[in-house]
Amino acid sequence: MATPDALLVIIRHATHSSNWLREGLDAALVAAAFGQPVHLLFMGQGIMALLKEQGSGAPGQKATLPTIDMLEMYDIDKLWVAEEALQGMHLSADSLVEGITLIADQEIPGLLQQHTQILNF
Amino acid sequence: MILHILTKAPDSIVATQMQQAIGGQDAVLLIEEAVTAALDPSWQAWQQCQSRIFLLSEDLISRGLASIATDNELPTLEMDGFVALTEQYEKTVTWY
Amino acid sequence: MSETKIYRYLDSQNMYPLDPEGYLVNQSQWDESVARLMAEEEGLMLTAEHWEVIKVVRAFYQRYEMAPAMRPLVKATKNALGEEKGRSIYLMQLFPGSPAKRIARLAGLPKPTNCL
Repeated sequence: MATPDALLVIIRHATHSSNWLREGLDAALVAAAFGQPVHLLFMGQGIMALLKEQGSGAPGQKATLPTIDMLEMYDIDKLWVAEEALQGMHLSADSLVEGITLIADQEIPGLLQQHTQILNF
Repeated sequence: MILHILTKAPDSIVATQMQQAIGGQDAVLLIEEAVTAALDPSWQAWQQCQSRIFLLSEDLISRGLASIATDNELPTLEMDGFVALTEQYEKTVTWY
Repeated sequence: MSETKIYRYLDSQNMYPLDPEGYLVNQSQWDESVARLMAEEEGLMLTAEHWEVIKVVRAFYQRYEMAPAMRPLVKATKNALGEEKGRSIYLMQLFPGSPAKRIARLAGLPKPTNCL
């Protein structure tokens, strides 16, 4: 399931609390712009970045959803979502954007092992 | 084989997320706030990783937790041990 | 983020301020005549082929709120204008040098952030 030299970017922070999310997405985009295969794993609050009904936030703050939609233009099409965390937040996959893949908690260690490089945000 | 470095307290969400990501061969180094794990030998990660989890001495000492770690018989590592560990594992993932 | 520092003006009447990298400071000032002025300055003659790519990039920005780097630029061009034109070589011929940056400038957009 993973490309041998893919970069895994782990996103764990929500949109409005800090710059972590933005920085994680930027790192993914820069790597992809250089032709590096990039996969994303969303854990915990990071899952909030995938909510399809999210608005644009405070004035002057960049909205997250357009960037999430843009990922496919950078050929970033593997978006893993930690399933138990999703359930723990009382969310269902239906409330998230299209094209995500759920991953069970016990498969997360294996996912990390498969990637040669990991960036954790 | 991954070296996980935890910088947040053992009861934090960050710690839980790291615990979900630890594989069977992986090692864990506890630094900064994470060294408060010295106070809790019943923390699940101590069992989960057995001989492959360490507290960073330097951060224990600066927080006054060094003797507690010794009393609780928890494994510690000096700075050079930390460096050796990062060389031994192919990837490092820091949880902050 | 658009650069708010004015470095110089595009025109002799000082109507169109540019940032240090030559991008339009007030994106709302953009129109086709501004693009033509910028192109002229670069020694580029805008043809129908240039314009359709500039439009692709403006549509990309409208949808994703970011100007595309080279890779997504190629993909967006391919989606909008077909396989023939959706190639980096084609874009390089139209906008020699760094197509992603040059097109963003001509399209009145900020510099692509993921583009070195």
